Amino acid sequence: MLATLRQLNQPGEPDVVGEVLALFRVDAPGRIEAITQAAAAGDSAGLQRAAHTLKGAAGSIGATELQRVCRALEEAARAGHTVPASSSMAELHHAFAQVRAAIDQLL
Amino acid sequence: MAKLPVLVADDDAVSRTVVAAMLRKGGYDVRLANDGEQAWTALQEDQPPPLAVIDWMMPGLDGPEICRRLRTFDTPTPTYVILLTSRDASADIVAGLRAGADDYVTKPPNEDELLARVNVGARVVQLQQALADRVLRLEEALSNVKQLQGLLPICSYCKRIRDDKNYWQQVESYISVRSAVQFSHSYCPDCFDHYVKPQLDELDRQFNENKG
Repeated sequence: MLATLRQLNQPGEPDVVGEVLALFRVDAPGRIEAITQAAAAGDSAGLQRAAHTLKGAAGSIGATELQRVCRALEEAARAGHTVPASSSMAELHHAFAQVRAAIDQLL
Repeated sequence: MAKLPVLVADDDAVSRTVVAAMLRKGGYDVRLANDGEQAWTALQEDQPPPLAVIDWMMPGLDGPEICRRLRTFDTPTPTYVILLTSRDASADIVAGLRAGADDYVTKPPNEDELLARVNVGARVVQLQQALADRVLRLEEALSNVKQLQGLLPICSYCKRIRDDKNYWQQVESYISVRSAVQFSHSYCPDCFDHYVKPQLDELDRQFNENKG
């Protein structure tokens, strides 16, 4: 996916990969927080929305494992399981930590 | 040719930036909206972008709602809308198309597919614009023709008519050139007395003279 993003770079324009990864790095913690809060509050609609948005962002940068975890959370919230299993939240934090580490190496 | 403006609306900055970069590389003039309200404002400007790539799920105004609002406008050049949907929500696709979207692309979009679909949209937009321009020109031409037909410049003495090249013509030839009207010839009682009867009398007179 990063290779695909790299192809979007054009001469004289800002580096698309750097821009997108930096945006993700800034935005994602807020999304994780929104998921955590919605889960704690038993707000299934909010959880579904927050997980959906993070899923999209993860997909855009090719973070497939994080995307998978977010999709599972979104689907569970849609099915009415407002409070995700603690293992799902642990998976989310773990997947995000890996993506963050990979981004920090690249930037 | 000037770059075609395309609106990209997505509340997620990462997706928005990626989609925008794809479209810029494809040669489009990209305008950005951070949410549905911004997108709706941009689509109501005097010169709105003719094409829009809009995320299905946004807080406030979502993609299908923007489509529904756009479709209430009676315009010869409606905005071409492509919705961005999740790969795993085929019900979204049906709902989006029913709301009035022209097409959809699943997220995260594949660059080639996104551009191919946006290019289709650009062709539709250009055809719509060409058609609208032509209709406008035809309407103008038609109103000119109606004005010409309503005004016949006619000589008040000899009753001949002036055509648009400033030649004076008989009513008959003027009208037969400009319409499908066919003339059948006859004469009125006044003209019979004034022109025809004297000729008949003259013929009678000559006949009687020859006989005598």
